[in-house]
This record gives sequence, structure tokens and C-alpha cells, in this order.
Amino acid sequence: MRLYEIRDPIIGFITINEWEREIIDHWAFQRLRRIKQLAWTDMVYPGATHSRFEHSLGVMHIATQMFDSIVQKNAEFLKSEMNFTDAGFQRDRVLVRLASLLHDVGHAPFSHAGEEVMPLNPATDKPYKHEAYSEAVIRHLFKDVIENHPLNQNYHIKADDVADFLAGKTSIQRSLLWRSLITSQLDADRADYLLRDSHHIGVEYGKYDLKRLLVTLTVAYDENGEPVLGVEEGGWHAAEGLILARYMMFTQVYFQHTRRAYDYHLVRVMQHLLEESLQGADSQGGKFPPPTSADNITLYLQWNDWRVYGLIHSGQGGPDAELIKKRRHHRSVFQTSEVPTVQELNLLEDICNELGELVCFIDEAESSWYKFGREDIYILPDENKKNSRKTKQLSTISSVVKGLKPIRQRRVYVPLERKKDAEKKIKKVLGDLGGA
Amino acid sequence: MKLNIPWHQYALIVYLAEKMQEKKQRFGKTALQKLIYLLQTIFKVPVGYQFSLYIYGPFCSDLMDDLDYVSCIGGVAVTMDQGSTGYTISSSSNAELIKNKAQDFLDVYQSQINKLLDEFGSMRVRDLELRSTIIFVDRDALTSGREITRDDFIQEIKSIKPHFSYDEIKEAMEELESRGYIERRM
Repeated sequence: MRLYEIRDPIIGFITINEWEREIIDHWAFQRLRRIKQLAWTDMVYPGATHSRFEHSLGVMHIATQMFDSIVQKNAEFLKSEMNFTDAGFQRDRVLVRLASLLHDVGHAPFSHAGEEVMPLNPATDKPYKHEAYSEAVIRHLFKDVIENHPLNQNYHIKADDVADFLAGKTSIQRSLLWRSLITSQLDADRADYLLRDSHHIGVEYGKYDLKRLLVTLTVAYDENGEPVLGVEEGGWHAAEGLILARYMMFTQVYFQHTRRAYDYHLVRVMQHLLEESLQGADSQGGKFPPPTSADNITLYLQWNDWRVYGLIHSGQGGPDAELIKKRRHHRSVFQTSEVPTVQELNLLEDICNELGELVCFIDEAESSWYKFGREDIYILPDENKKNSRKTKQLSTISSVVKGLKPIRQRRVYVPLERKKDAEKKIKKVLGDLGGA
Repeated sequence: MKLNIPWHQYALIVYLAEKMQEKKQRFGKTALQKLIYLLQTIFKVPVGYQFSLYIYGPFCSDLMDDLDYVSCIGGVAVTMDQGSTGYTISSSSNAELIKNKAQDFLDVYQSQINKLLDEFGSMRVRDLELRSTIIFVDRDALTSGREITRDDFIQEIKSIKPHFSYDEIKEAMEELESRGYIERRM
């Protein structure tokens, strides 16, 4: 088996094998080079120009480190309690690597910001998320490169297994245990993006002790006796560090008020382009085609940041594109506290009524990507390590985590040229309330 | 421009906490997850949460965030039991205020919520865990067009939940089949 190394600013070197290299060289994966990780965050933090491509490689590397660390220390437990064998470990390790490598392959242009123009999923009555597109891309486009590589004769992994793993389908059965490595409070996805985003942006907020976290990861039981991934007591403060890093990155970067304005403008640009594009056949009333067929997926993947930049450059992006070009984005004129009370929400309602049509949009922290809720991580106390393996939740033992609250801040945005009018009206509402 | 505040979700959390208190049932975070999953899936109440399957059963992180927020605004109190590893959720000082914000929703779906509590409200968390997983697997098989025999279905549950015995799984399946909540498999 041939191995290759890719240099990475966060990890150092990421090792891949010839099978993984074929997957990475697939055009649908190469497209991730043309999807920026943080959309138009570079309008605020100019260094934020990194792509989903390097993030995906990083997630694969960290997920593998997590898997290896857990298996190395808990092999006997996993064998006796969940009937794993060494061959079972080897197959699941490959499954974890492929799933983490491909977990973002269905992202829209400009990453999460593009998700606002995804069509409605009739099964949930909510818009599809990028995960549904990743799943469909894997099933439709990666079948051959996954299933027919000679190395796969050792594992017999199907493209559907990888997609089912990401989707949390029951058909993957016991392997569900590892799904938490890619989507949970303690996953390789956030483990990578916090460090990577901090590095490229030039902030320290997202840094935490990944090395300590890796050597203390374990598998244990939750309060109901269900197997869960957690952290040994010795990694308690590293786990706190991860949670604090998320909190800081959310407040300082992901939910930064100007950055969020650009997310809004981008959605409007995308809607305009999808409605007006000369290749209108691939749009459905300002939405991307749903991820329900190979043809739809292929059309969807024609969209990437480069195509959007090109259309904006040639004057086809509509009025919001012009605002972006001139950096005349909408301005936030009122915001609640991070955890608004019922009274504050009532005040917000009064202000919105007073502003009327001046309001362009109301941003909500809980609807933004990478939203921050109170995180919980399972901690395995030292005294339970050798017997019951029963965990405690970090929020019950950490005063730092206990003190964090879910951020539900809301902001009201108006056009730049109406900012002064809006501020006068807000002053009036606050004055009527006695200068609140 | 209308504010998009999901009062109905907040009010439901408060209402369930109150009703479970009335029934003198311990009401923790796992029970909340499973009851709302069942309310949406079996009783078709459009609460609006999206659940995903983990090794410990259907789970929705948005619901956990909402619980914390409702606790912050005084709808419920989430307290750690002395000497226990779990939390207890009970109603708090702003319970009425929050319920009033979504009274229409609670009125419209009153009968479904009551039925949920009658049938599942007294169950142990372990039993709720098993039943919600069985229902998740059933719905997943139906939507993805997977035909599974009865034995394979039981085997699938057993592989996800190895610490439940075959008899426990079979018994829970039969109960859910008899109520028409999952497909009867041969």
C-alpha cells in the first residue's frame, strides 16, 4: 500500500493511502478547494480565506487519532461489551476515515451561508441541510471510487455504508458508536475547525489542548447505561477548554455582527443568481435542486464560490452583490443581550413594530451556524474507571461550564442609508419606556 | 417584520415539566428527549425538532439548547439530584408567562400531549430509550424502503443496544405493534 503525505498548517503532515488519494482526486472532492470555509468572513477578518478542502483532510486526521486513542485503551472493554473483534476495529477505522473525509462534500458555495437557499425537504418540512447533499453525493458519485478499489477487498465497505454512517442510519448498527467522532459535542469536526479558523483568522479564541484531549478520550456509560464517548477525569480541563473555545469563537467570529450581515447579503445574491442564472434549469425558484437524484446532485455541484464570484463580477449578482462590492452592508441598530429575558424579547417586538419596513432582517443566534448552546461532555471519574464506567456530565462538575448559557441574542439590521432614522425611532421606544 | 421566536417549543417543555411533576414522575433530560420524539413521531404533533440517531437513541441537540434557554428565562428549573448522576426538570417562576405565549398551540394539541403522558409518562427512562429506538429504526426502514424480517429487526436493535436482552426487545416491539405504532413484521 502506497502512502502519501500532505502538509497542513494545523496538523503538520496528514498521511493518506492510495485509495484515499483517489477519493481526494475525485472532481467532487476537488470542488471543496473552491468552497471557502467561512464564507465572507474575510470582509471582517482578511485572513479567513481557507477552504473546506483542507478542513476535510484535517477532520479525517483528527477523527483517526481519536479512534485510535479510544481503541488502544479500551479494546478489551469494546470486545467484551460490544462484541468487537480486531477485524471489526480495522473496518470501523476505515469507515470513520472515509466518512470524516467526505462529511462536507455536499457543502453549498460559501459553506453554511449557502444553506439558506436549499429547497424544502418534504419529509421534515424544513430545508435540506448540507449533510443531506453530502450523503447524496457519496451515494451517487463516490460509489465506484469507494467500492471498487483493490484495498476495499479487505473491508467490503459500500458507499451507502459511508453515507448511512453520516446520516445516522440504523443499518450501520454497532458502528453508530463512532458517529459521535464526527457529529457531537466532542467531534473531530469542531476539533479541527476551531483551531484552523483561529489560525487563519489570526485570533487565539479557538485554541484548546487537543493533545491532552486525545490521550484522555474514552468509552464509558451514560447515566442510563448507554455506551458513550467521553473523557477521562484527567482530561476534564481540556474538555472545558474546548467548550470555552467554542463560546469565544461564536461570540467573536461566527456571530460577529458585520460577518452576519454578509451571510444575509450572500443568501440574497444566491437567490438572485438561482432565479436569474442563464442556466436556470438547475434552479427551482431561487433554490438549489433537491438532493434526490444523481442528475440533481451533478447540477448542484456545478455551483461553487468561483462561479458565484464570476457572476457577481460580471454584474449578474443583483442589488445585494453591489452592496457587497462597495462594502455598504446593512447595519445592526439594536441587539438584545446574549441571553434575552422574556421582557427583552417583548421590547424587541416593540422596536421592530416601530421600525416597520426599515427592518431588513432580524438575525437570531440560534439560527446561525456553529450556534452556541450549553455543551456537555461525559467525564469518566477515576473511581469508576475500573468498575462501573459510569460517567458524569461535565456541566454537573465544572463551575465554568455550569456558568455558560445558551446564546440567543437577536439583532435588528437596517440599510446603511436608513441607519440614522432607525436609531431615532429606537430612541423613541426606549424613551417611552423611561430610558431603558 | 415578524419575530421568529419558537414559543410553542418553550411552552411545551414547561408544560411537560408541570405534568410530569403532577404525576410525581422524575423528569430528566433523557425523558424530555424521548417524550418529545414520541410526540412528534407517533402523535404527529409538529413541534419542529429534528432528531438524529446515536448509539444512545434518538437525540436532538437543539432541544437541549432550548431546555437550557427555558431554564435561563425562568420557565423551568434544571437541578442536579443529590447523589445522582442525572438532572431533574421542574416548572419554575415564569412557567405561566411562557405557556401563555403559546396557549393556542397547547390547546390545539392538548389531547395528543395527554395521550403521550398517559401511555409513556410513567415509564422508566430505560424503557423510553428502547421504545424510541425501536420506533426510529421502524421509521428509518420504512422511509428508506428497507424490508427487514422480524428477526433481522430484533437483531438490528440488539446490535445498537447490546445491553437489552432479546426478550426485552421482543416485548417492547409487541407492545408497540399492538398499539399500531410500528409496522408488524413477520
